[in-house]
This record gives sequence, structure tokens and C-alpha cells, in this order.
Amino acid sequence: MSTTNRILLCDNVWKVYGPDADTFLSTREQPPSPEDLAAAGLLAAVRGVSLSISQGEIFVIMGLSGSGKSTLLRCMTRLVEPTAGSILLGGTNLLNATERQLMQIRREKMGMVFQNYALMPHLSALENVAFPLKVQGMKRAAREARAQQMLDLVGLGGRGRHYPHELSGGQQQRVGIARSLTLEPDIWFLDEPFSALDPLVRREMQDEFLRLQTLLRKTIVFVTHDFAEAVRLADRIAIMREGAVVQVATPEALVLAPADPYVSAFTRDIPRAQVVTARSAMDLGPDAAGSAGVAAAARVIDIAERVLAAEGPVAVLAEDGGVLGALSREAVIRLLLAQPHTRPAPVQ
Amino acid sequence: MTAVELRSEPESRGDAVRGAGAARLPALALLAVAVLLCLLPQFGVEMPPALAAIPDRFILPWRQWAGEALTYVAKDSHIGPVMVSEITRGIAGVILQPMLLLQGLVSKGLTVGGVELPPLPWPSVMLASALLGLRFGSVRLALLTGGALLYAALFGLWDATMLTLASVLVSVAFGVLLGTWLGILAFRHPRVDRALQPLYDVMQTVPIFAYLVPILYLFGFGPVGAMMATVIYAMPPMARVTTLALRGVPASIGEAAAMAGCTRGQVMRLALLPSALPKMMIGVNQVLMLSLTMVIIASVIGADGLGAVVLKALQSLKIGRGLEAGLAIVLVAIALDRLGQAIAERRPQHRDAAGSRRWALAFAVALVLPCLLAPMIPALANWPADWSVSTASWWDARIAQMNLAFAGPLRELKTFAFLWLLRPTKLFFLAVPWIGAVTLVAALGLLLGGWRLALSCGLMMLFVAGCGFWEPAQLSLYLIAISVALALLIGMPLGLACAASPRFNAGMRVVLDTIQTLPSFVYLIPVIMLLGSGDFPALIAIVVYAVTPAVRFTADALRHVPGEIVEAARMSGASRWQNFGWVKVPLARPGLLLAVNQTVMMAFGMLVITALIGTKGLESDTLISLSKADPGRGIIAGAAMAFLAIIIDRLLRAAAGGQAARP
Amino acid sequence: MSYRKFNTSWMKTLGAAALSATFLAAPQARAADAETASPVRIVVTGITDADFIANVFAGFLEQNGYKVERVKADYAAQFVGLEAGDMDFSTSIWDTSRDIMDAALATGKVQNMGSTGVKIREGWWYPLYVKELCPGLPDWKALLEPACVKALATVESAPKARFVEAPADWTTNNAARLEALKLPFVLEGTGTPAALHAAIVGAVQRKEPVIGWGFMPDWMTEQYPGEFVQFPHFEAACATDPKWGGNPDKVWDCDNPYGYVWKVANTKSEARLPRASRMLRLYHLTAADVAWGIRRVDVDGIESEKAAEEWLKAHPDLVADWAL
Ligand SMILES: Nc1ncnc2c1ncn2[C@@H]1O[C@H](COP(=O)(O)OP(=O)(O)OP(=O)(O)O)[C@@H](O)[C@H]1O
Ligand SMILES: [Mg+2]
Repeated sequence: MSTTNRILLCDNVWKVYGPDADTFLSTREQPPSPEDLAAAGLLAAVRGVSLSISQGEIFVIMGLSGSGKSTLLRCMTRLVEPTAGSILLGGTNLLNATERQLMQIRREKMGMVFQNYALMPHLSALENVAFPLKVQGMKRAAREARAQQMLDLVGLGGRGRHYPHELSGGQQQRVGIARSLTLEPDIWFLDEPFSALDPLVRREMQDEFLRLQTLLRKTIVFVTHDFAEAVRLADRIAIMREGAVVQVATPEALVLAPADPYVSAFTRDIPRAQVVTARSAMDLGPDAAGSAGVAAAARVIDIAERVLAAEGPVAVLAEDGGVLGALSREAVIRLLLAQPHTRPAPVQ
Repeated sequence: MTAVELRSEPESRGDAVRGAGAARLPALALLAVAVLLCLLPQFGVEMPPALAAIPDRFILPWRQWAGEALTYVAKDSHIGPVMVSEITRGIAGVILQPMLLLQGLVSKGLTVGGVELPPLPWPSVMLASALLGLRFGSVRLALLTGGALLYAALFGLWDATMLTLASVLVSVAFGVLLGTWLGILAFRHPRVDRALQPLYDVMQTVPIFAYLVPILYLFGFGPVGAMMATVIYAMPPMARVTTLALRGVPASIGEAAAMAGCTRGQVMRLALLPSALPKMMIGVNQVLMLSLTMVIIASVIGADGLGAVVLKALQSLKIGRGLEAGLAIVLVAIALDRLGQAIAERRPQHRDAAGSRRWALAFAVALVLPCLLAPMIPALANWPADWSVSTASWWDARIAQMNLAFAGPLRELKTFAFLWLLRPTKLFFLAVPWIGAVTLVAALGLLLGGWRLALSCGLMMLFVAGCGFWEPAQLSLYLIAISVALALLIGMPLGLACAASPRFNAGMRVVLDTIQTLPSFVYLIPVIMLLGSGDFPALIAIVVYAVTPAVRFTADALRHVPGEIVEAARMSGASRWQNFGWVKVPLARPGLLLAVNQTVMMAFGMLVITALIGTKGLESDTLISLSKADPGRGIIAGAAMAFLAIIIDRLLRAAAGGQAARP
Repeated sequence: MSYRKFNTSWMKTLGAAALSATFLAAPQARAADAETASPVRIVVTGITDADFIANVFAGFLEQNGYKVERVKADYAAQFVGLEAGDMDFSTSIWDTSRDIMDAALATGKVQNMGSTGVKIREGWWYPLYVKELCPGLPDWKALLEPACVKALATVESAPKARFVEAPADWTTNNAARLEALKLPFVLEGTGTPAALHAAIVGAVQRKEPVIGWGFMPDWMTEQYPGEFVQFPHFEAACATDPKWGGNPDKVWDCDNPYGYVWKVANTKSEARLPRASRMLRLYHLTAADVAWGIRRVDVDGIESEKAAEEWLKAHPDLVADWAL
């Protein structure tokens, strides 16, 4: 993952709830432990989180309920005022921004989707989507035309005049997504956008989301507690526990090298083949047959059929076309058969 | 219409849990002492006089201080070089404008640029209101809204009704705006909220006579002064409901608005308030109902309209006429209430857009057509006198008949009630020594809420005992005690029936609405004719009025017992009565305590009326202070009354909170 | 409060938007040209006799080209309005409520404009048939007889008799009188004239023994045949000197004074309405005139304003006396 193109940087961000939280934190040399905090009657929802998120990346934040995901996300948008730390968005420190500047930043750079949709009940779908434009004082006809485009984009073009209570959950969330994109944000924040939906609709919405992302190429910070969802969508995943980030890695690395038992508990239920890439599963060596290889970044589950159908091991190709190694049928079968909860057989 | 008086969460819940543990034993001991102190005089034990009633020399000159402070604020205070009364008068002048406009529109005619325009002809108003009913409700609602006005016209009350409508609508608008603003303030700053809560209690319990003089000084005579008095009484529910409704809006709606780039003001105006609006309509309804109950009082200080008609008719015992006008108030109230509810319950629908133009056209036609025809057909401009009917003389004859036929049996009833209920209770209350009352209140506070509650209630009671109005306070309490007991005795079974049967409930609702808005004098004057004045009619007045919350809140409490729990109980083989006694009532207990609480509050609210039929408690002191030019007396007696109400309210709420905390 | 000061400071502080409001709050601002341009605000209280007196004068002013605004007010509350200048004139202030009238006069913002000439008779009133139960009436000593006391007793008052007392804010001196004359009576409170009337009239309609506070002019004493109890005649000393009268230890061992209905005005109104004020000083009626008005309104059921108009038409000679 490229590190040159960082767009959002969190540096030692804290959010502590309770009386006199800021003075408690600033008077300490050492970062306080959860026990210290509890003794003082405080609760740290976010504890010293440092992250960097790159342009165009889908960055997923995961963790158990109450681990501070939403709070961290809200710190990044300053919907919640962090108790300490700094948050750099494209070089400016969000925490120094004035009320006006912040408003401007949100208008120009940020969009957000909420778990319970957060649509205004008194506005129609179209008006909801047009809301961010109305706030800026755009004329009715212009903003509704733009909102109509957004609704078309999420496939709800015909439902603009409906009110939220006249729409299904999935439709409501499409409206929420359209609204968050109206202002063409650079960064797109999504807080468990699909967790209130039933599995089929969720799946459909995930596909929709991926379709939009191939179209729009936003930088995305996505909160979920569903690891399968994270794996489907993420470039990188941050795992949180009790307010702290435990590990930041690609889905594959999380599965293959979990930092601790907490992380591996998360990854346990995911079929290996869905996560592991050809690059990790291949054997090094030149004895690959044929010319039609598979991409190194491809997930094993997606290429399994081809490999199994091939006569011998299939070449694994780098982006430039160079052969990196070969993927054998045995390796693929082993991955497909691997029980999700057992550690995969050592590949290399 | 719901008599819901929404209050914030019981604040003493935390206290209650603590109080339940450590302080329980000392609290019980204190309670025993208090009860003993209260009962001793009943057994003929002489108290030292200083403990029975606070000796005069310890009574601080509250009355004088309050009188001077009040006179100062009303007459002499200024901010910089500007007199406060000039500022308030200026405000009154501004507020008067919409009032004059509306009154001119529907009743008095307007002068625009030197051209005198007649008021809207009656068919315009009637058709428009029927159309409103149709637009937001159903044909039935249209019949109600149009019919209420038809009644007014038919009984020769058109002008009075229009004036009342105009002033009530402006009062409601003002009350709603002020309440919304205060509600937002309280929502944003919890500290402001905590400061405002007791203030609202005071506003709703201090009888209007206590602050009438300063109001009249500051805002002048006539509609604005009357409106201010109305708003003081009717606004608090709006503020409370607004805060609660805003708290009920999902936080993410505000966040979504912030992320859309709203300023703080825009978040409130464009996102939170509109989302909270449906719930806030309960508050609007409350303001409306309470404003209408104030119509009579408002007419005392110069508001013309139905209230004035009622009052004038009753001055010379024209009860039939009073009843006709009173029923007009009821009809207007019910129509406005149902219309408000229909608007509140309406959810936006995507088909609306096309139809709304047609509706606008219909309204325009309804309003304008009669205006165009009126110059040619005089019967449209003014309701012709010979179209009017009156049942007044019929009613008067009926009442005279009743007076002859029923006075005997009713007197028996009154004698019984007096001998067995009123007199013993009164004597009991009058014998309670102040030391006993203060201790009792403190002990209950300690038991139910903890030391803070004990302290605040004890201090308030001490004020009541030491402000120089101890005996009137006891007289007020005695009336409250009996009438609340009776109201609960009548109201709770009715509430039960309402909860059980929707049909009974629908019928009851009309009865309760009528009771709540029919000026009580209309039925009290006949009672006085039959039975004489004094405590007995006062008792009837309070009971009739306080039954309303008893019924409504009881029904509400029982209705809100979760269905699954009741089903679970039925599955475990509980009989109907077991289910009721063991499951429903215990589960509904906090709600039932709220019913008691609201009944007490309503009873306090009604005390002010009993002053007008000759009771001798605190309420009559506030009334007398008016004509004796002694504002201090009114304020202190009013404050004592408010304190009594607040003490009872806090204790009951602590009890309800404690119950809820212990599952 | 000075209206001039009111105007300037208001304009300074709050600007043009409120200008129109100021005109409404202080109509005299426009009154420089003619006295009749701004309305004369006269109190009406909704009490039949008082309203008739007010409406006769109001009608008279209207005949003289004035615009009259009848301001609806409670009896006690009207003094605030008169002090503050919200009303100009009130034409029926009773001696009965001296306290509040004296307090208003003491502020210097309200002035006495003389008596209306309408005599007030008030006191212990009973319907004629009570005489049979209490032989000796109207002499007050008849009320001491046990048979009479028993007849007038109710369950609340027993063993004493019941007296239906005027609203607590009227000055009746009855509590003192009971003590001074050792009358075995209990005072039953009524908070308003309506309740007072209801309690007495209800009993009268049933022909039950009753005694209570009555007054003239009033529709009840007009409509039902009755009498006032005769107590020892009032003299100023009776109210202040215990030695006076039958009981050497107490005051008020006598009747209430017979008073008048007074006229009062806001002090500032005279400057604005000099001619109307002079006419108010001249304005007078008799108790018989008012009784006639009460009958028209309460018995015949016509509007008070109409009755006043009729009266004015019927008495051009009297009316001429007040005109200037
Ligand atoms: N306003 C607040 N005041 C006090 N504590 C809070 C507040 N908001 C959140 N918390 C606490 O901070 C912790 C983290 O909350 P957060 O909502 O960020 O969790 P989450 O990971 O998003 O959980 P979920 O998956 O349930 O949404 C929780 O323990 C919560 O109780
Ligand atoms: Mg969350």
C-alpha cells in the first residue's frame, strides 16, 4: 500500500468521557491505563489511536460493540471533540479549525453515511439528498436536479417524491448514501451502513457500494463489526479493542499473522480461500506451465476453478506480467478444504 | 386531548437508590416521630403553642418585602435610563399588532390605507374551517370544525366566538414560540433546564390573582395583559415537551445535518426541530387547551369574547345564556384540539404535491366568494338576528325546577358529606402543628429520595409555616386532600374501564374534554343555588376538574403495560383478576403514581376558582390581595401554594422513581 | 409613567419598527389636534348597574362627538388600569371597596371626580317572608331570637345561623359587627357577586329562610321583594371609638355607612380630555334611574348599551345639565 499519498492522519487521538477529562489527561506524563481511568470515574472510548489513511483506499475499522469504532470515526469528522491528539486532513489540523472552517471542510471534503440512515423524516427522498445543497443556499431547481442525478446513481431515480417512512430500509440507506455523496466529498465515512439490513439486502448493498467505488474512487473509512463484510470491501483493516487499535493490516495479513488471540478470534470464521491471495499461496519456482497465469493479488477463491481445471500448476503473474511463481492444485485444494477455525497449513 | 404534562425524568432517582439503603432506618424513625407529632393534638394532647403555630414575632415580614419588591419592579425599576414598564409596554404594543390584525380580520374589520374593510363574512370563516377539517382529517372532522362555528352563529355568539378564537390563537402562537425557544435553550444547556423546571412548576401553580397586578402594570390592560397571564399558565408544557422531543430525535440526524455543512443554527432549524415537530404537537395541544381554560380568567382582565359573555350572564344568574356560551368554548376547544391532532398525526405523503394546489384553490374560493357576495346579500355579512335561536330560557326554567325538586335530597347528601367527611378532615388539618408537618415532609423526603429531597421539602414547608399564612395553608390542603381522594376514587376505576374498552374510552374522552374546557362557573352557580356557597361546591369544582387526569393517566398507565408480560402471565395460568392485581397494577405503578401526581397538580390549579366561590384558604388570600391593594399578600400566599404543590409533586415523583428503580 | 418620556426613549432604543405600536399604546400622541380624535376609554365591569351608569355616560360622550372605547375589566383590577393610564374614566366606584379606592387615590395617579349622585344602600338583606320566622324584623334585635336563629341555621353553621357574606374583598365589617352585637351568626363566604347572588336567590326561589349581604342598586334587590335589617345608624365614631353605641368594648356596633357611587379618572386624562373631564364631573344620575336600567337589562333582557341609549333619549332635559 502506498504511503506517499496520505490523506488522513490520526496521531495519538484520545477521547475520554467523564468529568474534567481533559485536565486528567493533560496532567499525565504516561498514557493512563484503563484501570487508572476507571479509578478516576472516566471512560476512554478512544485511546491513543494513530492511523494513516491513503488516497483512494478503503479503510475498514472493526471491533466488538463498544470498542470505540463510532467514536473514532466521529473524532475524524470532529462530530465528537477529541480529548487529545491531532487529526490531519490533507495537511490541515482539523482540531484547530474554527467552527466556520470546519463547516467549510465538511461541505467540501467529507461525506458520511449512518447506521440508522439518519434521514430527515419531514423531507422527501429528493429533498433529503438535496439537503446539503440547500444548506449552502443553492436554488431549488438546481439542487433538485443534482439530487435527482444522485438518486439515479443509487438506483432510486423514481422514488424521489417518497418520504423516508414510505421506503424500505435498503432504499433508505441508498438515499443516505446518495445524500453523503451529493457534495462530492474527498473522504467518505460510513458507520456500519449496512448492519441494520437483512443479509440478502446487505449483500446487494455491498455490491452496490463496490460498484459505486469503482465509479467514484473515493477515500473511504468504513466501520463494521462484520468481518466477512470487512474482507469483501477492505484494502486495510484496523482492529480495535477497548478504544485502542490492536492491529492494522490487509485482510490477508490479519488472517495469516494475527497480532494476538483477540484478532485471531475475529478472523476465525472466515474461509481461508476468501482471504488468501495467489501470491501467498504460490510455490516459488519456475516450473509453471502455460502462459495464461493468474494475478498475484487475486484471491484464491476467485481463481480456484481455473487452477483446478488446469493441467498443472498455474503461473502467478506480477502486475507487469513477470512470473512470480506457480500455484499448484494441491495448494488450492488445501486452502479450500481448510477449516476456517484452524490455522491454515503453512504456505511456504 | 391529552392532559399530559410532560416533565423531565425524575431527577432524584439516583438519590432514591441511595436513600433506600443507608438512610432507611433513621428515615423510618423520623417518620414515626413526625406522625406522632401530627397526631398528638387529635388525642387531646396540648402542644406547646410555639410548636403548634409559629409565633408571630418569628414570622419575617415576607409580605411587606414581596409587596415592595413587586411594586418596585412594576412601577419604578429601570434598566439604565429606561423604565422596565416602558420596555414591557413596548413589547406589549408589538404583540398587540397580530392580535389586532386577527381580531380585525374575523370580527372588527380592518382599516388599510384609510379604506375600511369589513371583517370576513361568517360563511367565509365557517367554510374555511370546515375545509381545514376536511384537508387534514375527515368528513367528520369537517363537520366538527364547521359545526362548532355554526353553533356559535346559531346562538348569536358569532362575534364573541371570533374574538375568543383570535385571542386564543395569538396566545397559542406566542406560547408555542416562547415555549419552543425555552425548550431549545433547555435542550442545549442542561443547567438552564434544571433552573427552569421549578420555575415552570411555580408558573402553573401560583394562582393568577397573585401576579395579576404586576402583569397589568407591565403589559397594560386588555388583550395583551390577558394573553400574558394566559401564556404564563399555558406555556410550560410546550417548553417541557419541546425539550423532550428534541432529546428524542436520534443523534445521528443532528450529525447528518452537521456533516452536510450546517451551522449550529441550521442544525436546529432545518434538522432537529422539524424532526421533533410531530412530538411537539402534543405541547401545542396542551397550550391550546390550557389557554381555553383561561378564557374566563382572561375576560376578568379585559379580554372580550366568550369568557366575558359567560361571566356577564352569570353575574345576573342567566345560567342558560352562560351555558350556551360555555358550550361554545367547549366546541371551539374540541374542534381546535381534534384539528391539531389530525395535523400532528398526518405524515407527509408523496402524492400530496399534486393535490395541494387544488386545496389552495378551494380555500381561496371559500374565503373570497362570500366576501364578494356579502355586499349584495346582507345576510352573508352579518348573521341575521332572526336566524338565531336561544335555549337560555328553557335552561333557566329547568334549573329553577331542579332547584325546587332536588334541593331537598341534595341537601341530605351535603349534610352527610359535611358531617362525616368535610368537618372531621378540616378539624384534623387545622390541628396539625407546624413542627409535625415540617418533620413529616422531611421524613418522607428522606425515605423516598434522600437527604437533598428531605432538606428542600422541609425548607419549603418551613416557609409555608413561617410566612404568616399557616391556617389558610391548612384550609387549602384540607380541600386538596379530600378532593384528590375523591377524584382518584372516581377517576381510577373510570380509567380502568377506559383501558379495557376502547368504546368506553371514546365516549369518556368527549366527557373529559367537556369537563376540562367548560368554564366551571357554568355548573358551579347552579350548585351554589341549590346548596349554598362555601366548601361543598368548591369540593365539587375541584373533583370534577381533577378527575380528568386521574382517568387519563390511569388508563395510560394500564395501557402501557407491555403486552408480552401480560401474555406470559396468562400463559402461566393467571386468572383475569390475578393478572390484574399481580401483574398489571405492580407494573403500572409508576404510571399510577404519575396519575396521582397529576391529579394533585390539577387540584391545585383549580383552587384558584374555588376562591371565587368563597373558600378561605391561600387562594382566597391571593384574590383578596387584589382589592385590598396589598400585592405582597397575594404573592406570598401564592408562593406558599406553589411550595405545597411542589413538595407533593417532588415526593410523589420520588416515590414513582423509587418504585421504578426496584423492579 | 410619563407618556412623553415613553415615546422618546422607546423610539431611541427600539427604532422605527415599533413606532406604530407606540401609537397604539399611547393614543394621546396624536391627540394634539382635537380632544375628540382619540378615544375616551371608559371602564365597564360586566356588573349590570355599573355598566348602565358607564354606558349612559359613554352614550352621552358619543352624542357629543367623542369616540368611546369601553374597556372590559374586573372591578378590582380596574384600578391598575386607571393608575397606569390604560383607562381614562370609571363611573362606578363603590364606597364599599374604600381600601382599594383610597390606595389608588393616594398614588396621585387617579383623582376623584365626585359622586354620581347614586346612593348606595347595602347591608343585611332578607326576602320578605323571613319576617314571619323572625318577628320584629327589620329591627336587628329580632335576629337574636333563638327561633329566628334556628330557622336561619344550616348544617355547616348550626347551632348558629348562616349569613351569606359578600365576597371577601368587599368591606362589609361583618366580622366585627357579629362580635360587637353578639349576633349568633356564621359568615358563609362567597368569592364573587355571582356566587353571592346564586346562594341567596337559590334559597329565595325555594322560599327558604335566608339572610345575606344585599345592596342597592342591584338587580337582585330590584327583582325580589325584601328588606334591609336596621342596625343602629352609622356615625363616624362607631367605626373608631369602641365606647360609642350599645357595646362599650367594640367598634362597629352599628350599620355600614350609606355611601355613594363615585366617579374617578386617571389624573393625566384631564389634560387630554379637558371638556370630557368637566362633563364627567357634572354627570349624575339617581338610584331610580339606575334601577330602571337594571330592570331593562336584567328583566327585559336588552343590551346595556341599548338601555342607556333609551334612557338618554327619554331624558333630554337631564342630559342638557351635563353638557358644556
Ligand atoms: N457521549 C458519551 N458519553 C459517555 N460515554 C460514551 C459516549 N459515547 C460513547 N460512549 C462510550 O464509549 C464507548 C465506545 O462507544 P462507541 O459508540 O464508539 O462504540 P462502537 O464500537 O461504535 O460500538 P457499536 O458497535 O455498538 O456501535 C462505549 O463504551 C460507550 O459507552
Ligand atoms: Mg457504533
